[in-house]
Amino acid sequence: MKRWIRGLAAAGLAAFAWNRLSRQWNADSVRPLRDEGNGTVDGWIAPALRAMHDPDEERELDGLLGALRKEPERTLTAITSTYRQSPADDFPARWSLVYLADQVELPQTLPWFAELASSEVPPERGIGGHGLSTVAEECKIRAAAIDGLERHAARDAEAATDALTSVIAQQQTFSVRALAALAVLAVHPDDETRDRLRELLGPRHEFALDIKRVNVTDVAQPDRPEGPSRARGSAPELGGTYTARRTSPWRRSPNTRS
Amino acid sequence: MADCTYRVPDLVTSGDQLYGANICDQPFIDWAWSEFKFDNPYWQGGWGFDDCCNTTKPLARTLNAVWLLSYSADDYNNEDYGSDILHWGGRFVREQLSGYDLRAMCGDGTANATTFGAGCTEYRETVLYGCKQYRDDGYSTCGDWPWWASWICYAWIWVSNIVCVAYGWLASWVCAIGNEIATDKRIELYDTPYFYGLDVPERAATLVHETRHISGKAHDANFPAWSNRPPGKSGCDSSWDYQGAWMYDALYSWWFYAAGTRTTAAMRARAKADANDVILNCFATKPSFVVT
Repeated sequence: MKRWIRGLAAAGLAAFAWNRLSRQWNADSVRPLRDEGNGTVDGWIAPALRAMHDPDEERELDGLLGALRKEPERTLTAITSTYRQSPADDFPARWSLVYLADQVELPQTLPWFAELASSEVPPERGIGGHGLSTVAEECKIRAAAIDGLERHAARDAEAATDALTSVIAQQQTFSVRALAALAVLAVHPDDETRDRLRELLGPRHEFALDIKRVNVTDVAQPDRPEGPSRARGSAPELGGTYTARRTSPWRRSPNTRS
Repeated sequence: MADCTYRVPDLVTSGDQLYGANICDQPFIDWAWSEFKFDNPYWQGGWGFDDCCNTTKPLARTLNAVWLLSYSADDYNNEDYGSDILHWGGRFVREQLSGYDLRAMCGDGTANATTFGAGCTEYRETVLYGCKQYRDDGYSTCGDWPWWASWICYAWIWVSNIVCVAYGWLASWVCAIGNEIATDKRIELYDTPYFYGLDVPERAATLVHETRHISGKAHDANFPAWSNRPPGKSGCDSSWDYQGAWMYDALYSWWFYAAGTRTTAAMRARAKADANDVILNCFATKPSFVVT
């Protein structure tokens, strides 16, 4: 029996040692990274884009958007040309340009939103599923254009409602069609519109009409996670005091650190 | 195997410039490095250890996500689990990472991030979820029996459910013992999708998503026919009520949109788009709501 226990212990130790050794081997084989370059933004819209993404500058955003509104053609050209020149896989940048166009609230943006929202979603270039899905990212960009169209439609622009209807007719992707249908219903919540949308969506996607726009407090929240009753190791106070450690990355003189 | 290279997307629109201004603070770096279990060797050699404020490098871009997770609630010191996920999301990630390492790796394009070593808890939770479904369905069926016979049905379901739950725990303990010896428990974050394909709110939500796997929720369904992910492929959750990684992912983005602070309206709007994308595409039951 003792021999059997000693054997089991030795096997456990060997497995543990192998685990540690393979971990070290894996760490040694970490490959370095190389930078391959960057894109550009048109100078006319750059200050507004920056302000949209900086809490300190955000209060100046209204003024910057006002300046962009004074020259609608120049603004639209700057946004669309920057969009076209943006790398296809820089999804946050492309999405932000559509969002900026929405925030500018220019009537001239309607045709661009209509074109963008109806444009075919390119085939998957990522892996989809659990990894980065380029189709999902492309759909988010079209969703931003749909938001823009809804804002136009809410201002009584019949052309925007027609454009949203056209998105439903032309797009194949459910999430884009559903968001366009919800945008139409938000502006025209009547039975006649609902029936027309049901026909457009077809039996495959008509369940989009059962989807409701709700607040986060209206949906089921997770059960209380297992864990200590009180949080430990909480984040340091913003602007708090500091005691240096020796093992983490160092921001001031990195090369002197071990 | 993909080349381990990267192209830095626009730093302003990804949110890296916004959050990068906050992370370059030694107390925060020390705390995040330790609490989020950054595994030292895996962040050397161009990954950012020696340049941890440089938001073109993976380490700073991950620290940006950690900062967002930790400080986006107005009262960020309140991490009570009785509150919403915007408050306790960072705490949840920290607690689940206990015993795990956080590593940066060259990816092969198949995932943004992968969790290793969560199989035992995932198995346990899957069994327990199955037991609960079995019990609920069983009790419902018993209600249809004649009153004088239904107690036999209830008793049977009650006893067999206890056996089911006991099996789930026992099997997971045996599995966990082997796991501790043989598995290097870790989350791997991949170049390029995690570091350069996602914006900062998406990176934060991905950390919540991956750590939900550690707490025991594997994906339990295939993507449905209407999804913009490949239909029929695994990696989907059965429903919102399953409370899996996609629910946590979407809900974090949603709360960030609804109540996130120390950010901008544009970042929050982007999080709304992220949440809607998950809600409409990553559950096998038909969606009944989207973000308003």
